[in-house]
Amino acid sequence: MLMPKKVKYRKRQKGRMKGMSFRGSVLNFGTYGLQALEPGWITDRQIEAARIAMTRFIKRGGKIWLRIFPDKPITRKPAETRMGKGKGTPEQWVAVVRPGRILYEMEGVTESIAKEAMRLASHKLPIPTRFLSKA
Amino acid sequence: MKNLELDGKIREGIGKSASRKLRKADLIPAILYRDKKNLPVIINHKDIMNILKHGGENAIFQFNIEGENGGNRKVIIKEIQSYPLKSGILHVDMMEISMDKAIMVNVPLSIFGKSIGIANKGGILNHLVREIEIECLPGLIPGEIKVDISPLDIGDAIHIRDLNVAEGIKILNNPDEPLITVTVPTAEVKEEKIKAQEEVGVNEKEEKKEVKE
Repeated sequence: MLMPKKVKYRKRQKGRMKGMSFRGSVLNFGTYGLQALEPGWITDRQIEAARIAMTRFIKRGGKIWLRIFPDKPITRKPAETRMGKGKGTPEQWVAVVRPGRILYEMEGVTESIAKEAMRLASHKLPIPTRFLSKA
Repeated sequence: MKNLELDGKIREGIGKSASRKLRKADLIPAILYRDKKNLPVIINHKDIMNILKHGGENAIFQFNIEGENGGNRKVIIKEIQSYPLKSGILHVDMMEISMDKAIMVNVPLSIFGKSIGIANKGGILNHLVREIEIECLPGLIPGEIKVDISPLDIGDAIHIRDLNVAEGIKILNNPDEPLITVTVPTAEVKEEKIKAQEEVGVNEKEEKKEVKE
């Protein structure tokens, strides 16, 4: 799964997802892209599941770019534990996504294939998305 | 190209609050870069969209400022900031230019033709660079630079040095930089590798089972 090699601090605060993503909101690498329409945390597993769904559909040909990286650790307390006694242990990594962020980009396939691949990928994600095309 | 004109007026309110008020009134906060002090201005959304429609992003137009006698002031758009989700412009940077002084601009690259490697051999087109930085007189700026990809076979590439541009235009990108390449489908190779690895893994497991038995 995707995760940083090294982090300065193991545990991070929750944070808020206000506003829109002005950075990373333009197609820079490929001709087609998937854009987030709502804010949310996308986990490493979801990112990977969506990527695999796209790669399997396009089979041969095409190139995919990941525009997000899960760099935020999320902690969780063990089940049936009383409150207190400090923050839980890091369980997963998430990417903080704001509306407008391009999640994936694709090139080297026809628009219909790219659209279908992105549709399959969007079902693996926790937020609504839309398909973008430069062509 | 027909003569394009844009009207604007000097902007006094600067900052987030003033800009938001302008945007609500269908106006756009903009700035004009010039040799003298830079000038914050207000322009109309409809007018700037009209200029982009008729002249593209590298359009040269006359900019008239209300109450200021600028004479024949020629201007080019330097940057446009837009909303990430809805269509609409947030802010425009414009630059006053002199028609006899060379400027640097980015020009989009457009491809045409059907590559042999893609049509016959199933290769993938990699469009690595979409804009090229050029230096020329404002009157010589092309709308786009066209590239013919029909002779490209698998493994071939078009570099910056292969581009044909009109006289008086200097390309600033590295001449050895590849623009467009046609490659073998990578996903297929990866899948084959994975399948081969899986088969090897299964065989090893079976062998281990047999040894245990």
